Amino acid sequence: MSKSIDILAYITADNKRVLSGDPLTLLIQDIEEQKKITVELARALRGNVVQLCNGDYIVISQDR
Amino acid sequence: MEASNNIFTEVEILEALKMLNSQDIYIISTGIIMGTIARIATLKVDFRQVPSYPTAYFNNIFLGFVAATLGSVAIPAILTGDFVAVTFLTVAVQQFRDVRVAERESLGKLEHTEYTQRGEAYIDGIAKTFESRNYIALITSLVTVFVIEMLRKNNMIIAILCGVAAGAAAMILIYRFTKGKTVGEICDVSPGQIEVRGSELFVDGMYVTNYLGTDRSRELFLKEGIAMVLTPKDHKSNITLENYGQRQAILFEAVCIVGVKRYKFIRRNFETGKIIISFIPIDNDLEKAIKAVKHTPILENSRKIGRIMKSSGGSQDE
Repeated sequence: MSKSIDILAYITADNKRVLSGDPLTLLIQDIEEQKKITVELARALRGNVVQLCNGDYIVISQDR
Repeated sequence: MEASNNIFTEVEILEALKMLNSQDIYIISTGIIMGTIARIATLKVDFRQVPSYPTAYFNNIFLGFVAATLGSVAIPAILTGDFVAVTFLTVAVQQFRDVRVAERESLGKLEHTEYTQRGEAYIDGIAKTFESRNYIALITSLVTVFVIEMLRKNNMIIAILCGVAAGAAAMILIYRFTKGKTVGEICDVSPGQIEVRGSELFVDGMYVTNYLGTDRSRELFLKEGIAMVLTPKDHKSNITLENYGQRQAILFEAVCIVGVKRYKFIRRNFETGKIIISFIPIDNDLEKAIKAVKHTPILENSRKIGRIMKSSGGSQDE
């Protein structure tokens, strides 16, 4: 079976959801900047992007 | 003095019996040729791309030749009273087992070089097929030589012709017996309609993934993505498709034939039992992908026998 999937980064516009520790959580309030940074992070980390219902993004590792 | 002369004559006779005459050479050669032909006929480089290199192709033909040789000499060896020669067949079995192990190791080591992995179940199936095809070569030559030996007292040419016919029949029968079913025989494969809702991907209204978090990925899927829906023909087929190794093999075949640019998903719908395959191919040819999926072999370990499943508790005795 495939390996477990990890959250590599969490990108949010709400400062209440920023928690320290793992994974890396970024507070970006500008929507366009948020999209751009998410794509750049996903490319660098070779991950997949999931947009949550609250508008936040998570970058997760790819399953092989 | 006379007694020693008699012993010498007996030894000579025994030696002479062990020597091959021209007829034996014809018989053994026919067996070897038939066995090697059987291996060549079953060694197809098809869409599965195995074996894909000339060296691997040559190796398999040579192993088939060795198998045919072992099969051809077994009967003449027994007829000369050399029963120990039969133990060569055990050597052959060991050798073919090694063929399976080598093939499994080779494909297993190359797994990380593929974007989509075959999976251990599929590799095991391929390795077993390689092993069994060497047995086809061995049995074909064995049957050929056996029939010729049976009929050699009459006319040698007719005996050889009968042997060739018997060998060909044996080869076809065993090949048909060992040939399994394909996915196309147990389920219908149809194109699926791709739909993106937010970051979620749906195919024919069935949920696939929520990995489409970026605008680029959504556009890419809507523009270039392909999807296929596998509908099992009956309950038995449904259980076969539940097998993880089988699904991995299906995805591998689809991806192998048209390539994959980004993303590859294979999901099972619990309610309908349908299997959904979706990915962004390099060669955007849905027909080709559907054909590859239909031709994916049913793996032996995922195959379900209806006759056993019908009886309660899975036992035939009850």
